[in-house]
Amino acid sequence: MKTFPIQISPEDATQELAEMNQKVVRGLRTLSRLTHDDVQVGTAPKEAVYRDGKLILYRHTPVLPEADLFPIPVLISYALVNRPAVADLQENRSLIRNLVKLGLDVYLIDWGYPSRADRWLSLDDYVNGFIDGCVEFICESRGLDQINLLGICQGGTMSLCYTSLHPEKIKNLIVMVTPVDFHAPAADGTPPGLLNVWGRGMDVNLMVEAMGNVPGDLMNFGFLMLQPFGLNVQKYTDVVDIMEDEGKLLNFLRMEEWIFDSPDQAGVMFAQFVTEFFQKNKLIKGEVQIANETVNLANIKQPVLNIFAEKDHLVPPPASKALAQIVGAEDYTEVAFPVGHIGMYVSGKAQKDLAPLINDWVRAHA
Amino acid sequence: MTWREQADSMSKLWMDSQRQLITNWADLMQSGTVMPNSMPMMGAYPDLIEPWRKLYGQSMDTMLSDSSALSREFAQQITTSQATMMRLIEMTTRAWQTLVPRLDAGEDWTTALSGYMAQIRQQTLDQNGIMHAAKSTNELWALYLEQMQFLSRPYMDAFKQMPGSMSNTLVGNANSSDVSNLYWTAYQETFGRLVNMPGFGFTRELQQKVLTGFGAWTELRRASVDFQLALATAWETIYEKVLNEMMMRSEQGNPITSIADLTRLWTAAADQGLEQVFRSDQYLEAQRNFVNAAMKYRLHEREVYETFAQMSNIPTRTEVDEAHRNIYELRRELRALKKQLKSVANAAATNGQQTEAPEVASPTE
Repeated sequence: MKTFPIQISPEDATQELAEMNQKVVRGLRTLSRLTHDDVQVGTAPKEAVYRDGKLILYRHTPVLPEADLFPIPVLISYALVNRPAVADLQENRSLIRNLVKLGLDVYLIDWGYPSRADRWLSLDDYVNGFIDGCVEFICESRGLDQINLLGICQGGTMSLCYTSLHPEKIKNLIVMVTPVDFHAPAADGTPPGLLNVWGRGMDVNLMVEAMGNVPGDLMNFGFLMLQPFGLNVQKYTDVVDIMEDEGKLLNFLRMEEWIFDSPDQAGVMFAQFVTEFFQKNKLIKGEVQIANETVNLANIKQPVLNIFAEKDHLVPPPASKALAQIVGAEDYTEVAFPVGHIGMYVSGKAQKDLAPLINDWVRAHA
Repeated sequence: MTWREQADSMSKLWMDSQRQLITNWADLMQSGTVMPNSMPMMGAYPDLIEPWRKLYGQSMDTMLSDSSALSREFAQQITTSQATMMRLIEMTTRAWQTLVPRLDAGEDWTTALSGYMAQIRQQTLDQNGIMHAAKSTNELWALYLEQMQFLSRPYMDAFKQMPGSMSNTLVGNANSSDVSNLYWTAYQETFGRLVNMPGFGFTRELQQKVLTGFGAWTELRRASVDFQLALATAWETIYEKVLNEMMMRSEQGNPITSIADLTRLWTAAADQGLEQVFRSDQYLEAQRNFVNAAMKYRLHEREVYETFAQMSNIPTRTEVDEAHRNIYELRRELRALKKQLKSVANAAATNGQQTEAPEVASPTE
């Protein structure tokens, strides 16, 4: 006879529940000692050097003397969904701090929190307005004609558009976990991610007409629904095991702080991005139009470094690797990291190897 | 022990676990400095999770009263996940208590599971309250007005000025046996026809907006029911996956031996099952229709409120949006002009002219 599927003895259950309760109590004592200041993210020293609307351009304070810095700055353009602090979660998990330590001159675009007044901001404003304004400012203030551009995720997609339209201003382009072919299936043949599937059927223009901007909370709800039990139940059940360890608890809380800090999405930009990129997949087809100009990725002739995550469930590797087929650059390099989308910023492997990779590649393409 | 005895033992384990959890937690709190405001009654409760959850939440609030909002939110998440974990044990217990007699009666696993799934489906439909929903358009209309009244209470006198009592005209036949079409059929057979009739009287514009708003609201209710049904399908899939996984582990001689193990099994199976449903055409259509109906209703609702706002000289959302758009377009124009000025200045500098370049490189704010 088969064994009954559940063989939990009353004694074991009692013991397990008692231990769980004790862990929670000890964890709460640790938690009660922490303040919000302890879980601040994006704390690498920096100075606001330029503003445009709600955008702030930061220059990260160099740790080397100015004369020893690599002369061509790197401008980081992060996604509009969530905040760029993921690239600087804490002192020992920070792509930005690692780049600065290696002597790169790092600028970071903080897109801010769009309000209802920003509803009309479009892809044109983000690419030809905001990114171009930052590039121009850096070039003028540093007496340069070109800078290096590092685009991350959606910020990478916008960086591709920008470089295609303004190739003369970009020396080298680096893109990280960046979607190019939005309809690409995952490497193992599984269909595109759920967000992609959901996004394809949505009448986003109607959403924007009704809501103006798309609330960050709604975006977060969408992300949580990708794995409702894993992200809402199991995560907080498992965390009980690490709550006593203040260091581990702080790591967890900083990630929580970042995950739930979701700006609203400017309405018109959101609608354009979903319809043009997610639904119609126009970037890979060379059909995206910005201010009556076609975004042709073949215009990108400067060296390109494309970094993607092998286990990325949000931007599957084929979605990023599609760039190779269409980009105009002869000097094109792809590097895979054996991590997921977020692991690209926080994993041990990324902490050790990502910044040196970017630093070495940029210096080799001076 | 037979499976029936083991299922009964599982049920006892569930009750004992609840008692153990709550007693242990109360002891822990009393041994420390944290005393909850009130102790829930024990013993007579068939379900101790809610009192435990209350006690748990109170203790956490007390312990974290001086902590940051983030800590308190985090503690709430832990409370919720612990309660969910206990609910998963409860659901598992109930499932096996129902399944085992079927298996003992000689049913094979597939038939027993399929019978159980039918039972779950019916329960889900009942729990959603679909069968108890308003069955006449009059009731729907009353519900709609009640919802509108929440935000428009100061202006409700305007409704009274409308010709006749609209609710009295909305008598229809809502005997549809098709649950998902309950509202829709009633609406189409009665009120839907009225929406397209020309209005009359000095409040006809407002009346028209309210009527079309009711149409959008009815459509939203229908889409919501369909969406709930699609989610109910997801629960069936989850149950099926969880129970099948348990059966498989039983066959492999690898039973579940801890509460943590049981929770992990549920989580993995549930998320797999949900993803399968979330990708299905039926779910995608229900989700799309629900979101679209919600957005359309929001637009109609805005039209009605804006009428009230105009009556009181309050700026409307549409007017504020228009102002924002004008500012946005002016900023774009300003940006373009600055760029033009800059190229002129650069060209002048290149040509060696002595004209002072305009100041354009400074930040805009």
